[in-house]
Amino acid sequence: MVQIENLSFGYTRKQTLFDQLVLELKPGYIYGLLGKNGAGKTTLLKVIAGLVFPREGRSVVSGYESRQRVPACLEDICLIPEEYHMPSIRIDRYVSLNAPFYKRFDHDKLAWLMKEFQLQSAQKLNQLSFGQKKKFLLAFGLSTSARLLLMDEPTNGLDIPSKSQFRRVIAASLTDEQSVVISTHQVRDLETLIDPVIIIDEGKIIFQQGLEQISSALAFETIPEIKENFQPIYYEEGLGGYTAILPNIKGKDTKMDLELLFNGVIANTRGINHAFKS
Amino acid sequence: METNNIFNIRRLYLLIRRQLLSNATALLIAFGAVAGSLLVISLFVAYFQPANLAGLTGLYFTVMFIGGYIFTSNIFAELHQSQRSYQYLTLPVSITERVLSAWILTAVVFPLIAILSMALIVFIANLVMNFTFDMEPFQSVFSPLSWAAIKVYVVTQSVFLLGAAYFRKNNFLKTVLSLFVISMVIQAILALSAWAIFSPLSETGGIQIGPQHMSEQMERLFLNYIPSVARIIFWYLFAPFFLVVTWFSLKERQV
Amino acid sequence: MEFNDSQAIYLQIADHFCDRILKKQWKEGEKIPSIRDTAVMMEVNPNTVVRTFNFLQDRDIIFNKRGIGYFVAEDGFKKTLVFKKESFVNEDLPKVFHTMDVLKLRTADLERYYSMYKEQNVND
Repeated sequence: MVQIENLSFGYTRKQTLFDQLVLELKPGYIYGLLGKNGAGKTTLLKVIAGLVFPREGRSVVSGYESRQRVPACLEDICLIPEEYHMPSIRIDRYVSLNAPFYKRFDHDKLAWLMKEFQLQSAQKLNQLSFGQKKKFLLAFGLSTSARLLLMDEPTNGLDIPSKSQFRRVIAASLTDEQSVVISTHQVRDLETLIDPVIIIDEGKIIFQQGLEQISSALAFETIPEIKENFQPIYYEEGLGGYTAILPNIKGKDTKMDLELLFNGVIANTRGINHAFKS
Repeated sequence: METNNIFNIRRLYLLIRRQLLSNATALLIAFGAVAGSLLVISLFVAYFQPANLAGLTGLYFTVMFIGGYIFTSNIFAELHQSQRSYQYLTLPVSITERVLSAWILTAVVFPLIAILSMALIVFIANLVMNFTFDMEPFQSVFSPLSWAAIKVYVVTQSVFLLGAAYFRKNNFLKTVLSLFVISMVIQAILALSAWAIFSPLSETGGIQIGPQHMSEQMERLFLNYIPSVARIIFWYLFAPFFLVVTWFSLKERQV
Repeated sequence: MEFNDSQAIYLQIADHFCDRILKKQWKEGEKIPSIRDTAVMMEVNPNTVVRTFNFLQDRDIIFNKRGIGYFVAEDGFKKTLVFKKESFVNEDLPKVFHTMDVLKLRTADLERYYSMYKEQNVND
C-alpha cells in the first residue's frame, strides 16, 4: 500500500526532520502514528499524500510516487487534516461537486454515515461547528472508498459521544483492502482501535509493532515496588505502586497501556525493542 | 477501469464545474456589481448623450481587461489557502487538467460572458432610454477591433495565469508589479546597450545617428523581419509558453 | 464500551461472551454477532475481535460455519463453564489467597463468610 524508502526531509536547508526514514504500510490495518510535538507526524502524512516533497528518497502509494500526484494515486488517498476551511456551500452541493471525481464513491455509505453523524444535506458547510465539519469530512472521506485514509488528530474537537461514534464508524466501515493511518497524541481516545503502533522520534521510526506482538513481548503491570535485582524496562510512579512495562516472561496477555508504551519507547527505545528480539 | 493519468475529458468537465459552482455566489456578486455599474453608466449616457453610446465600448473593454486579469489572478485561490489547498491538491485530477480548466474558465468562458454581457447592456440601454433599435452600438461591441482586443486579452492573460499559480497571495498586484519591474529592466538594458553602442560614435565623430545611417539590410531587418517574428512570437508562442510554465509551477507546488 | 486495565482487550471481550453464554442469553447452537458487528459494538479494532473469536474457537466454545458466521458450540455451555472455572482458579483465587494471607484469614473463616453471603442473597 505505502512504501517509504530512505526518506529525508526538512522544511529548510539546515533543519532535518526525517533522516533516511523507512516505513511500509500494508492494507487491512489501522496504524497509530505517535510522536512528540514536532516529531513530524503531520509532515509524514503530507509526504505520503504528495503535498510536500522529500529531499531524498521517496514515498510510493499504490505503485505511484506520491509527489507526482497522478489521478490514479490520488483516488486512493484520503487526507483528513487537523484544521481545514470549508467552502460556503451546502453539503449536498459539495458532494455533487466532489464525489464524481472518485470512481468508487459509495453514496449509500455516505447516506448511512450522515445519518449516523446527524448531518443534514441541506446544512451549509461553513456554518457547521468544528466537530461537525470533521464528521462530514470523515463521512465523505470514508465514502470515497480510497484505500489509504490519512487522519491527523481525528478526535480533536470531537465531544465524548462523537469519539465513541468515531471508533464505531471506523470499525464498521473499513475493508480488508483499506488501511488507515491515524496520527494522534490523544492515545486514550484511540487505544482500542490502533493496531499496529508506530512511534516516530528524531527523524526515524523507532518502534513499529502489532498489538499481538506487543502483548506477547511486553507485560503492562502495576507492581508494588521496584526491586534492585529485577528492573522493569520502564516504569512510572502511580497510585499504589508503579505502572511498569516488563518483559512478558509469564506469557500472560495484559492490556496494552498505550501512553505508558509511548513514554517507555521514548525513554528506553533500546530496552523496549530488545524485548521483541527474544 | 484503468485510470488515465494524463488527460480525461470528464475530469476536466468536473473540475471546471467544481471551480465554477464552489464559488458561484462570490462570482455572481462580483459579476453583478460590475455589470450593474456599467449598465447604470450606459443608461445615463444613453439618456443624456445617446450619440455617444457606441463610444462606451472602450470603457467596457477596459473593465473587461482589468476584470479578466483579476479573475485570472484568483483562479487558483484555493491553492493558496493553507487550510484548503490540501483539498485541491489531493483531488484526483492531473496537472494538465488543472491548468486547462483554469485556462478555459479565464480565457474562453470569461471573454465569452463578457462580450455577451456588453451586448446585453447596450441592448438594455438602447431599449430603455431611446426606445429605438439603433444598430451602431452593437456594431461597436462586435466590431473587428473588439475581436482584436479579445485576442490580445487571451494572449496576455496567460501571464496572470502564471502569476495566479506562482504567487501565494495578492496575485494580481504581484503580477502587475513583476510586469512593471521586468519591463523597466528590459528598457534599461536596451537604453544602456544603445548608449554603449552609439555614444562613442556620436561623441568622437560628432555624428548624429539617425535612420539615414541604416543600411538597406538593417532597414529590412528592423522594419520587416523583426516585427513579423515578434508578431509570431506574440500570437502563437507567448501564451503557450506561459501555460507550460504554469504547468510546471503547479507540478512543483507544495503546501 | 469501557475496558478495565486487568487484561488484554480481546480477553475482556471473550469474558463478555462467556457471560452471555453462562447467563443463557446465547444458547447452544445459536448464531452470535459477526466479527464486524462485535468490533462496532465494542468500538475496537476488528483484528482484536478476530483474536477473541480464535481464542474461543480454540477452546471449542464457539465454531465457525464458513460463509455463515460463528455459532455457540453444541456443548458450549459446558465448555464455557470449564474454561471459566479454570480461569477463576488460576487467576482470581490466587489474588484472594494472597489477600487472605495479608489479612491473616483462614479457610474456616472463608466458609463462615460464604454462608453469610448466601443468607443475604437468598433471593438470587
